[in-house]
Amino acid sequence: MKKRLVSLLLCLGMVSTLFAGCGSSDGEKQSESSGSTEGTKSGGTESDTLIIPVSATVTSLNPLLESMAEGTLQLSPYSDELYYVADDETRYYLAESCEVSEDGLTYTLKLKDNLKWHDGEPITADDVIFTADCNADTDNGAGFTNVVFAGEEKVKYEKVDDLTVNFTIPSPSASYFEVLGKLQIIPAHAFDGSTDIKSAEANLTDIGSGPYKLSEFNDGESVVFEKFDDYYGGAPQIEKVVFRVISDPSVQEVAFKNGEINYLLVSSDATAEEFENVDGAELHQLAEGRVKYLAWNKYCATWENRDAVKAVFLALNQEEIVKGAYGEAMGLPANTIFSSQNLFHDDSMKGYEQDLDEAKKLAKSSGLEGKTIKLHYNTDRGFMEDTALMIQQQLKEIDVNVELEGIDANGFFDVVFTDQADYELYLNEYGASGDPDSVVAGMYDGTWGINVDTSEEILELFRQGRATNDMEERASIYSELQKKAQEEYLVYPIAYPSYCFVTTSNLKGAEEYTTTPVFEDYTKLYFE
Amino acid sequence: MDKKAMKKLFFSNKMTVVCTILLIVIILASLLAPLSPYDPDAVNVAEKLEEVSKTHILGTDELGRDTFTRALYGGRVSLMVGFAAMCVAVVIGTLIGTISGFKGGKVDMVCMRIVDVFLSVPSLLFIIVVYSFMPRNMVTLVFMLASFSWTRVARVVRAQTLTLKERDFVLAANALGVRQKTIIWRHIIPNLMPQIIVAASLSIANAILDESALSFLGYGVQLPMASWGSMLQSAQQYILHNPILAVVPGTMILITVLCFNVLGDMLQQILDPKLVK
Amino acid sequence: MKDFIIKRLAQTLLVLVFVSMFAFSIIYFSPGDPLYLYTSPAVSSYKMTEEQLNDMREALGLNGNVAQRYVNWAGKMLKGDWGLSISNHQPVKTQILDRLPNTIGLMGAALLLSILISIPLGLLAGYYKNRWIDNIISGISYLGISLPAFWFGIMLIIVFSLHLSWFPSAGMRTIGVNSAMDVIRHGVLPVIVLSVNNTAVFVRYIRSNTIEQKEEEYVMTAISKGVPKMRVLRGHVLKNCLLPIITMVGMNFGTLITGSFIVESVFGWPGLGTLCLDAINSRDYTMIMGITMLACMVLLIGNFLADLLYGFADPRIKQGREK
Repeated sequence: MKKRLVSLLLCLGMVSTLFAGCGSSDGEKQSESSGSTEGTKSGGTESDTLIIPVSATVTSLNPLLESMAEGTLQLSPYSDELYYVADDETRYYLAESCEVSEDGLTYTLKLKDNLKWHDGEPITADDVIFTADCNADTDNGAGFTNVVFAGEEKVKYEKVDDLTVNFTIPSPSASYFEVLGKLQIIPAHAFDGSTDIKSAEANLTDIGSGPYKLSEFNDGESVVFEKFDDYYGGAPQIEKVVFRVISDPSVQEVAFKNGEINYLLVSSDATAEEFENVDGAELHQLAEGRVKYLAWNKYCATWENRDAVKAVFLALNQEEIVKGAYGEAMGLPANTIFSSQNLFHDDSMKGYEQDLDEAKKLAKSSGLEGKTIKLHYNTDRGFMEDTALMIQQQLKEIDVNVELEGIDANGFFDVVFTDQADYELYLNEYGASGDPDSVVAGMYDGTWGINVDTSEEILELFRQGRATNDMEERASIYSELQKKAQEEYLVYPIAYPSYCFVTTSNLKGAEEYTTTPVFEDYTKLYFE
Repeated sequence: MDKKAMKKLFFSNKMTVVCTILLIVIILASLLAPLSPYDPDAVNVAEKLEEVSKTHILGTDELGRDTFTRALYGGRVSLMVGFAAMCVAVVIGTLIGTISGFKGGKVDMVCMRIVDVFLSVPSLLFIIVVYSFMPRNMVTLVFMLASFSWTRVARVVRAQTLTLKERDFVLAANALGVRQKTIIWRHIIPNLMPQIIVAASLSIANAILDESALSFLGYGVQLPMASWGSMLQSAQQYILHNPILAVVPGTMILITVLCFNVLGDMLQQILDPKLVK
Repeated sequence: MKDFIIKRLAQTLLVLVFVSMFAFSIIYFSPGDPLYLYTSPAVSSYKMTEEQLNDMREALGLNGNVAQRYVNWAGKMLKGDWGLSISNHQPVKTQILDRLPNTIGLMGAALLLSILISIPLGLLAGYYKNRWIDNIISGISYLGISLPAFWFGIMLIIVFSLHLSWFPSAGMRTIGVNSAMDVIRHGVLPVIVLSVNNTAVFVRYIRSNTIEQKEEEYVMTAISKGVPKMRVLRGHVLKNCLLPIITMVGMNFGTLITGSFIVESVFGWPGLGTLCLDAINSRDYTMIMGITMLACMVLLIGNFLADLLYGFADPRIKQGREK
């Protein structure tokens, strides 16, 4: 019987090969002769290839169209941004410099002069203009639309010379410098100058500017990049960077332990703990620059009496939630609506503290006691489910029954960023790094979170913060803003999640910069 | 075959007896779950991911909840979903099957085409598509699962109705002018019982399996309620560190589904005289 | 026979139309906006105005009521244009066809494995009914139909990939290696997981068929005449079992398709299943419709062929059907 089984397996193998052989329709040859490397634990352990697991390959190689977190991760070795504004410095990539005029309205962007697209063409001001045009054509739904629109108004941009472009914004905006820096550009010549880029075939070809150029794109399987020798920052040190699809986190972990991949995004405390003291693996922990928070829906009648909100905030035990849902490795308690990665984050503040007696009193007086309230959370976001469960449990203490309803990312914002009144609470998160005027402000000033009850005072502080470029003045404005938000029970900031990942210990340079998703500068990475 | 003989056959087979006992134990344990000293949903951060111990006989999960207690409560949900889906499937299947078989002609044509539609759709794919676009609650889940399993019942029932229709007692009732509705209720359906029981048993097994697959793909029951499937799904993350979290619900699913499958099959063999000879 | 074929074909088409309408309307009436891909705050911190959103909807063909959109979609579909994917604006058809061979390879190998294993096991179990060998085989086959596939998959990965290092954990190819052996090594675990359920079903089916056959007079005679057991099994029993096996295979296409979804998602196999799950997550309705339609078509064709073969080989059935 055993013999037969073995032969059966062989047969089966043959068949599967036959089919899979036909499967490589991406134009590659299925050369039988190259079977020599078979049988070894190849790939990840080779010292010239960096393999990073992802749950799906990018849908497009165009950085304008692919801006979800996993897309950004995959395109970062391949496409560069203009410059990056870090806490203490500004690091220039494609840009040589960016000067702001006295009145704070005109930004003069100068490109480096030795830039090349992966096809060898020079990168010029025309490409910047073309990229801006593509973003301005809102049908594209491009990811950098905020570079060319300030609210409803359009930003003016014009070419000065082959390497210089002027951007003129309608009114001073402190965060525009950072917004502009994040812009990644695409080559005008690859799209024949047409701004209708959505379905262009060029989106699946090499249109990058980064240290790595496209070598193979196997949809659903892997994206292979190889080093670009003509890179302006000098050729990178690692030969190849590969993003390989392994969707299940446990399987990713197995693959890492097997040496099939060099990188593993850690999604639980248990995994982090395991890798903390393992030979051959190195654990890295970065602050992700996000805020996870609990918000109450101002349109819901339950909160007419603000004491009810207070009761909820005082009933929660933040430390326990963070410890339970995140664990030590995966998140830190949040103390304000800004994250620790935001400029002007106020370290001195303390978050909400639990006071059960007061909470019980308020729950009773406000009529919240005994009620059943509904909480929405985003099922596609990490830690939300566990956080929701902990909140449900803690509110039981003040005799409030919480009904949980998870919604996937798609439907989530259709519910929580509207004036729907039929639910009380929701768990959400926002990116909060760099200037608080860009994303954080949008969450509270009515752009996105319209059901958050932001007072006129706070709105005014946001406006003041935007209008001035004086750093000290802004610091005091934002400090006041953070305090006000807490006093007014605006939202309950829960945690600052960590971006935790493990690399094989022969990979060096992973912590050169702390931008997430990794890695800001692939040329800094090397194998030892 | 009379009932006594069936009973005798049933109890003479060791497998059926073992499976029945196992199922009774599982069902009883689920029903008696509240006797456990732990609250299945109570989060206890201090006791996160504990190993097997005297206080927690199967350890705790990532939120410090007692795995054993959760498995018992999870059994309630999984079994309930299974039973409910089965009931819906059996009711729809029996109705359509008998009517289709009894009336014949155009009614039969239409009914069987509907059955074909459902049979020709890859069920899980469709359930996922529909379920990801519908409000997620237990009722939807049950109906989704049932909507793809009633067809099997309908087919069996129709075939059986066709033979019953030609039996003397039905012909006689017809000749006496008894109303069709009465004939179906009084004569046809009671005689279909054995086949229905078999189909029901198999459909519970399928519903439990499908529910777990749905949970795995992220389309499971609501929080904080756990089914075996959703326990398995959240254990996925810890499968390398605390494999027991995955082994417990996985084994429960396996045993329960196995028992229902074996029982269904054995019953069928008992009913089919050709195979018992 | 001709009538039968035409009738079945017409039915098949009708079923396809119904299924497409059903699927289309479900997606249409569901909450969640495909525009989310472009407008979510997770993607862009710029919030579009209503007007801009409307223009975009128009551009993506997302305007109009359900009937208009269905007719529009179906019209294109009939002409062979499956539409553009909402998420990357590339033709759905090429994306599906790119992935299709991977799924078919997986399914084909699994099917072949099921058949090759289940025939000998089924025959043995049926021939030695209620003996120890039957008990073992039947027991295993019960296990096979009761295993949650994804769980089994992960368990196999832990044992054979992590602990024994026999097979790679996931994917279809090692990066940079382009050999047949490599694909086989990647394929072994997924194929095993995918074939388990079908193998179990087939074994049980063949077993009960064998039991029936064994009681037929000509088999009894052969046995009493002293013809070697193996020859009886091969010559008489197997020959008469083939037909039901073919039907069984046709009818089980559905399980195979849905099974491949789960297996692909566990093993990260670049096939239609993973494509479809991604599409569902991004509400990419043209892609979902394309895959659903394809899956239904494959299933229907499978059923149809099974019916046809059965009808060809056994005129009794044909007549029974036409009654």
